[in-house]
Amino acid sequence: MSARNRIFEKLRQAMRPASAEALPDVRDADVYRDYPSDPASLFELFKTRLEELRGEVYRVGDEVAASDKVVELADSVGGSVMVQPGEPMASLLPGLAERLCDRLVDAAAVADSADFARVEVGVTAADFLIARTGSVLLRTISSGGRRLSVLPPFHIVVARASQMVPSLEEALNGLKGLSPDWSYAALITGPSRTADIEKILVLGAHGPKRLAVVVVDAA
Amino acid sequence: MRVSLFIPCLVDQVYPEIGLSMARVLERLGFELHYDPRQTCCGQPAFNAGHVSEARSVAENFVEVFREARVIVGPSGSCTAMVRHFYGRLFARHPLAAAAGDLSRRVYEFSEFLKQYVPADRIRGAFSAKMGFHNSCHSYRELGITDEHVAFLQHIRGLEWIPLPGEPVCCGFGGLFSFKFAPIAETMAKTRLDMFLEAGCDTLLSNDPGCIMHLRQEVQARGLPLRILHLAELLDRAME
Amino acid sequence: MQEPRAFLQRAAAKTRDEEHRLKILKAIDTYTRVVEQRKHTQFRDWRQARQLAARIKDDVLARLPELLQQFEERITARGARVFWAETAAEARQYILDLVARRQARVVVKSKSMTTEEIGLNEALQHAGVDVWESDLGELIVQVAGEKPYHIVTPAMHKNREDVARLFHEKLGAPLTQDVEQLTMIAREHLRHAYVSAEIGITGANFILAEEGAIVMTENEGNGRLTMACPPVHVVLVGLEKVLPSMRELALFLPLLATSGTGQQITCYNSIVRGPRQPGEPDGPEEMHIILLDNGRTELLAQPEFQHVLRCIRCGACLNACPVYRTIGGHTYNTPYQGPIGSVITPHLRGFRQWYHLPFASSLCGACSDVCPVNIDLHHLLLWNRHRAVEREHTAAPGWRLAMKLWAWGMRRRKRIALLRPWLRLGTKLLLPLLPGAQRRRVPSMAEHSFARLWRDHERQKSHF
Repeated sequence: MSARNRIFEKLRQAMRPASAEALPDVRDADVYRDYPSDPASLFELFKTRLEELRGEVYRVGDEVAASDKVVELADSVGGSVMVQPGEPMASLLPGLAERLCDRLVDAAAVADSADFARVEVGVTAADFLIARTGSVLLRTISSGGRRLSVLPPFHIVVARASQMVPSLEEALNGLKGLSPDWSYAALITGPSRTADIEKILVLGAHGPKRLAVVVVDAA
Repeated sequence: MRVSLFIPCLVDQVYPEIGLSMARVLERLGFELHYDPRQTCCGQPAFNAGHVSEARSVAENFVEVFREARVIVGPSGSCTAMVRHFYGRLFARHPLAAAAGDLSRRVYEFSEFLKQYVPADRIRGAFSAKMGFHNSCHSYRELGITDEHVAFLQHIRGLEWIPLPGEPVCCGFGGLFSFKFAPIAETMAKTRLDMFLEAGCDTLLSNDPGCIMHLRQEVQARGLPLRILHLAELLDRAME
Repeated sequence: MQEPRAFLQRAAAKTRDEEHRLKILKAIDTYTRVVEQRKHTQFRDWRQARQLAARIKDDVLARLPELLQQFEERITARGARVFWAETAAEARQYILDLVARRQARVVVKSKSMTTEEIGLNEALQHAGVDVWESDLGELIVQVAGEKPYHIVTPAMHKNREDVARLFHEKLGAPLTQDVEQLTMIAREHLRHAYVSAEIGITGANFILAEEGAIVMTENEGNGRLTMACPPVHVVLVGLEKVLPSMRELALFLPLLATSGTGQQITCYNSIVRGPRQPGEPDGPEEMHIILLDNGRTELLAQPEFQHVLRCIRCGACLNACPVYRTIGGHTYNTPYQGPIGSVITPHLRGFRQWYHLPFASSLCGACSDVCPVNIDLHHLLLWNRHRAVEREHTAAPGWRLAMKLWAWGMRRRKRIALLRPWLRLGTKLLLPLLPGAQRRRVPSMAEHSFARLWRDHERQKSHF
C-alpha cells in the first residue's frame, strides 16, 4: 500500500460526522470594523491605508497623465525600466516607450533572472485594488509574470479607478470570475518590509523598497 | 444563610490564618458558618500533576463531605475552578458523577460569593496601603473573576488602588510546577513582582493561597519591600 | 543526557541570563501593544472572529479526506505533482531524490517550520547541497549556526549588536549597528541565491481545496522570489492546513496577520496554483507539493486533541506564555516551541522523550486567551499530563510513590493529623538536601492546622 493510501486510510478512520449545522454565511462587513460602506470614499481609504504602510498613491485624470506620472516616478530613481508588454499597459500608458527611450528594457529580451535583477523599475497592471487594506491583487498572467512585480527595487502599479473594491472578500470573489488559467496571484500590501531585528521596521527587505500605485480616473 | 467553609489543603496546613480571616469576615457579615473537619483537599495537586486516579480518590472524599452543603465558599480561585470545572472530567462515568456535577453550582470563590451575596457598601473599614491586585490565572480565566469582583474594596478607607497594565500575568506558582521547575517559577515570580514594584505598590493582594505562598517565598528570598496579602486577611484587618 | 533533564538544565541557565530576559520582554512588549490595538481596530469583535475561524477549521477537519483529494486533483490538473509523506524521512527522501535528479547544487529556502520539523537543512547539507535561508530572521540564525528561536520571529533573541557581529564575522560585511544597513546586507547577500538556485523550497500557510492552490504569507518578498526565480518549486506543508476555498482567506489572512505580527494583513500573500502555465511569461517548470502527515493523523484520531490541528502557526501563544518568555525558544529544543509545541510535540515525537514539555507550564491559560482559532491549549497541556502519567507511565518511581502516599494520607482527616508532626520534622531534616531553588519552594507548615485552630475558635465563641 502506498503512503498516500495509508494516509487516506488513517484520515478516514479518524473522521467523525461533521456538525450538521451549516457554516454561517459571514460577510466582511460583519467581521471588520473599518469596512467601508460609502463607495465614494474607497479611494481615500485605499490611499490612507497604503500610505500608512509607506506605499505611494497617485490619482491621475487620464492615460496621458498616467504616462507623465510613470515617467516622473521612473526619473526619481533612474536606472532601467521594464514595462509589462501588451495590453492593458499599451492603452493605459500611451507613448511611454518613446519617452523612456533607451532606459526601457524589452521584457522579451530578458530571460534569465540574473539580467532581470539589473532592472530598477517594474511597471505592471493589477486586477483589483482593495480599499480596506490598501492592497493590490494581481495575477502573473495579467501583470507580466512572477518576477516583474517583486525583483526590481521599485514597483509601479497602474490601474483604473473602476478596479477598486471595498474589501478582500470582493477581490477574491472577483478573482474567481476571471479567466482561470493562471498559476500565481499576489496580494501586495505595501513595499517589502521586515522587523526581524529588534522589531524595527525596515523597508525593502528582499522585494521592492518602493511601491507606487497610479490610479487612472477615466473609464 | 448557612455557609460551608471550603478550606483548601494549603490553607489548612500552611496558611490557617487565611481560613480564619475568611471565617471572621463572613461571621461579621452575618453568615452562619459550618466547617466539616473531614474535608482534606479537592484533589487538584495530583490532578494537575497528571495522577488522575490519586486525584479522584482524594476528590471522592471532598464530594462526600460537601454533598449536603448548600453554599460552599473557599478562599482559593484555583481550588474553586477544580471543583467547578474539572470534577466533570474527573468523575466521568463514576458513581459520584451526579453528586460531583451538582457541586459545581454551589461552590464559590470568596470574592465571587461576596459580590453575589453582600451589598458592596456593607463592607466597610480602614486599611492603609498602596495596593495592586494579583488576580490568579485560574480565578481570572476559569472563573471569570475580574477587578470588578473586588470593587467593594473602594469602601475601605486609606486603600489606594493601583491598577496594573494589561492582562493578569502568571506568578509562576502552578502547583507542583513551581517545585519541579523551580528556577523557571522563581524567575516568573520575579518578573511578576517587578510589575507591582514598578507600579509603586507596597501591598499585593491576591485571592489564591498558591500564588501567595509562591510570591511570599520570593519576596522573602530577595527582601523586597512588598507585603503579600490574601483578600480575606485584608478584609479581616480592615473590618476589625 | 535524557531530554527532560537536559531541558531543565537549559531552562535553569536561561533563567539566570538577565540580558536574555530583558531582551525578550522588550520584544514581546512591543508585539503585545501592537497586537492588542490591532485586534480592536481591525475586528468588530475579535472573539467572534476567532470562533468563526475555529468553526471553519473544525468543519475542514471533519471533511479532510474529501478536501485533500479535491486539492490534489485540481493542482495536479495544472501540472503540479503531489507527494504524500507519512513520515519526516519520506518527505526528506523525496526532496533528496529531486535534488539528485535535477543535479541541484544550490537550494534557496523561505521560512518554513515544517522543513525544520523534518530536519531538511541537515539532510541537504549532508548531501552536499548549498542551502540558503532567505528570510532575514532565518538567515541570522542559520549564519549563527542556531535553530529558530520562535516560529514567527526566528531571531527574536538577537539584538542589532549580535546581528552586526555575526554578519561581520561570518559574511565579511562591514561592521554597522544600523538596522536598515544590516537588512540591506542580507538583501545583497541573497540576491544571487535566488537567481542561481536550481530549487526553491517554501512552506505554505494554507491549502485551498476548491482552487487547488497553496497560500503563502510573508512580509519580505523572499518567499515570492523563491517561487519566482528557480526552475523548481517545492512546497512542504502539513496536511491539516486546508481551507475549503479562497473565500475563507478573507478571514484567515487578517486573523493570521493580526495575531502573528499585529498587521492588518501581511505585505505579501501568494496564491499558487501550479508551475508556469502556457501564456505566462515566467515561473518554475516544475512544482512539487509534499503533504506531510508525520503524526498529524494520530492527533486527528483523538477527539480531545483533534482541534489542535486548527493551528495556523501564528506564534501568539509563544508570546503570551510566561514560561516561554522566561526560558526562551531554544530551551524547548523542538521546531515548535511554547504552548502549541508542548501540546503537539509529545504526540508527534513520542511521550517517552518529550513528556516533560506539558509539565513545564503553570497552566495559566494565557495561551488559550490569545489563540486566534480558539484552541484551549492549557487544557490540552493538562490532558497531555494525564496521558503521560496514566497511559505512558512516564512518572519517575519516586514521584509515583509520593503521589500514592499523598493520596492515602489526604483521603482521611485522621491520617493527616497522624502524619502531620512527622511531615513537619521530615521537611526540616530533608530540606537542606534540596538544591537552592527547590528548597525555597517548599512551604513550611504552620504549627497548627486550620482544623485544629477552628476547634479553638468555636470553643472561644461558646465561652461568650
